[in-house]
Amino acid sequence: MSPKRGDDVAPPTVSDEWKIRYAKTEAIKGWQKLTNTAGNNLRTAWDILRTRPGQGVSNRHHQLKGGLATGSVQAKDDLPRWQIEVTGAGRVWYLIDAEARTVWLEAASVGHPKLTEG
Amino acid sequence: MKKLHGARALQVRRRDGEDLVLSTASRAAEEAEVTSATTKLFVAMMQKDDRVRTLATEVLPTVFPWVRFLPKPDVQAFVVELMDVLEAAESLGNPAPVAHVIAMWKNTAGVYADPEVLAVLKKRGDDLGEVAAPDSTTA
Repeated sequence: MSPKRGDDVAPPTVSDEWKIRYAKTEAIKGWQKLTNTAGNNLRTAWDILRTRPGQGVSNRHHQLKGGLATGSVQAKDDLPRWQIEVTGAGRVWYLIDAEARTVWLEAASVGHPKLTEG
Repeated sequence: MKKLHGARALQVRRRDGEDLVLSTASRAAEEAEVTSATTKLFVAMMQKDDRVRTLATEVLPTVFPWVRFLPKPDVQAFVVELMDVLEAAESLGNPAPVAHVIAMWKNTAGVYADPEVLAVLKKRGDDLGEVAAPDSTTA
């Protein structure tokens, strides 16, 4: 059956999916904490990571700027660094390795310092 | 529903999407007019005199207190990008890109303001294994 307007978009086949790997020990701890405190939201974030880590830019999902715009993993430098706002305070940071179709999880935080509103 | 701006707008909560703000057409037109006029004035001043750009950098922390967390080169980059996007967005009549640029820089400042996260991001990463799907039943 062909998809109708309003239908959910079919998930990508497994071969199209991005690999998601831990790049730092802090990411392992942070991800576990987020699993315990915001499992449903984290599941949504996980789906973004495996299907479209560098697309769907919004105020809550985008590349960082300036000196934090890129990061390094193993022998690779200058990989784009993105952030997903998982909850009001929870954040996930990752590097996009398009060549290897891999997302490198750098850190995950349940809390974030509240910046002065401006 | 929640009243906003006195009694001239209502916020409508939606379960399946972002909340809506219900306003009068005249109010919405007024707000668009004010934003457009302010932006045009600002862009014209910058085009007239380079010193306005410098001045904008100096007053930036007053408007956005969080820029204090950004390193100097990043503050400069933010000003340049903000000016460009203000001009471009005004020509399209769409303020969304401006809000977006501000959000991206604010989130970047948020990382600079968090020494623990900043230290982690500055490190070189290594392959520490696969991230499994989170169990969505826990929350």
